[in-house]
Amino acid sequence: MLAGLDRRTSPDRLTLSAAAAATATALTASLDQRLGLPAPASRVAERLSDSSGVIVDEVRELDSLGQPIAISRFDPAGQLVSSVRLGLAAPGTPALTTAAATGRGQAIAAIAGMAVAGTPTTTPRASGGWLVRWVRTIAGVPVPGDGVSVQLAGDGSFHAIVRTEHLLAAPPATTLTEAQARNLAGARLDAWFTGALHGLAAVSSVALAWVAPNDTFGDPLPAAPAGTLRLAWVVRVTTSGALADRVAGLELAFDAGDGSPLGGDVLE
Amino acid sequence: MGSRVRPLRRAAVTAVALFIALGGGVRPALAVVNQASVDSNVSAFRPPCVGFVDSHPAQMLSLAVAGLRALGYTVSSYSGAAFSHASVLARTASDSSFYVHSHGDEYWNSAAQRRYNGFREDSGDCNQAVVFSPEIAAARAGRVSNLVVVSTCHNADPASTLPGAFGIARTKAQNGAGHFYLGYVGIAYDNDEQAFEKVFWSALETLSVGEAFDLAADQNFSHPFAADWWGTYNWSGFPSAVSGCTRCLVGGEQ
Repeated sequence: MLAGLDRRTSPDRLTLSAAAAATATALTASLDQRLGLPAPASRVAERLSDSSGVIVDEVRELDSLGQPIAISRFDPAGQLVSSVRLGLAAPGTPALTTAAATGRGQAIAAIAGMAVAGTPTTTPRASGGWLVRWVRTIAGVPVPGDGVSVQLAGDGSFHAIVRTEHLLAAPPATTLTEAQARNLAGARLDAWFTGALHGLAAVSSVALAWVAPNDTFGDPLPAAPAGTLRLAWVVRVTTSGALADRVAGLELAFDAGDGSPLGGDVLE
Repeated sequence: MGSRVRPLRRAAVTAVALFIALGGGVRPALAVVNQASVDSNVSAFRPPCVGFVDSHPAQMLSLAVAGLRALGYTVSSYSGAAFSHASVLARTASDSSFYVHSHGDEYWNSAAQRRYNGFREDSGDCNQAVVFSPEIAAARAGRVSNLVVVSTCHNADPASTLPGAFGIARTKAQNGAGHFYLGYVGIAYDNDEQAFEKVFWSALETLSVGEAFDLAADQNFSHPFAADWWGTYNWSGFPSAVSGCTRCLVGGEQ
């Protein structure tokens, strides 16, 4: 299980042995070489953990002034978790085509040793360059927050890569139907939006997905290790009228096995 | 965050705090202002406005308060009735840094008969007026902000009028004056915004604003999610004296 690190909540500076530090820096050097990146003036390795117990070895690459130019992270097994080049990248000329960006992203994922499957989604990044995104799937069901993302600068050069893979709870023996999920969502919306707001929230889509239960709506979280994903029906809701001024949309998640609410998300 | 804070950054935060505490007769030609306002709309996302209580607004407010304090800002936070159209405009001229989490868009401004970017107040009720970019620009009279984080939909769209209202031109530079505007492009879900901001605020302890942006953006989000920024990549995020924005018009346009 790998999750995003948060340095603030519980970042423990764990002991990193000299041997482990050497391994991490060697992995980073190898990655740089394979990606055709210049060697930094120095590298500094640290072992970090987050509040859920995820541990990574982080290597910061520094320039001759001691300023960071890249940050790479590896899991305890030595697999790359993420790597990002720091610094403002100039836009490329000529501009990369979508197909070329996709090909470049695939090449980078392969170089980085990150297994990807299927066709990625390639989109221009608002801040410049391209995002090539593979969403993890399990038997055809998406895991929206998992997968691999490659970010390219405008000229197609490497900017960043990240791999996310959470633990999955055992799938239920039987799964509720889509109609049952719609009914659960309808009941919740009727309870939340009454009076003048009644009828201003409508279900727009229902689909299965592996999700991380959350406390967005105050639902009790299932007993499980932090970050464990559950198979859920995710109901997307659109709003209209006066309600749209407060909430632009919602996602409601229900356990695919027993229908218990698993939280969701708010679109503002 | 643990023990890793760049010695230079720690010294700089201490120096800024000490300078401000001394006050008195020692005044530089450009005074350093470190007031930060953090606003989060909670009322729209709880009873009686809706039938649920969204946990994110309070959590994101806490993250922003902690993040800005760690940078050396004197932070005041506002939600409910204290986060109002009038209170935002009353404070903005003295704000060196500003954070808002609310509903945002390019709203129709009937007085101007055109659209401007903005965000909704909280006001403690369900009737929430829009704070428009030209109103902020007028209140600030061209005074440039240091760090502005707008946690709403649409306020980092390519033609957003909001950065200019805070005196920040929609340009990117590696080095330069100490200012940075961060926002989201198009629609954005709370969970993704919070995931981004959690990493961003934490990363600022050891990285520049641009570096913190890059680290925060290096995540797999649950939905299509886009953040953008304008300002100076290598700026520390600390309160600092800034010059005026020569490319910012009164209405916040460029």
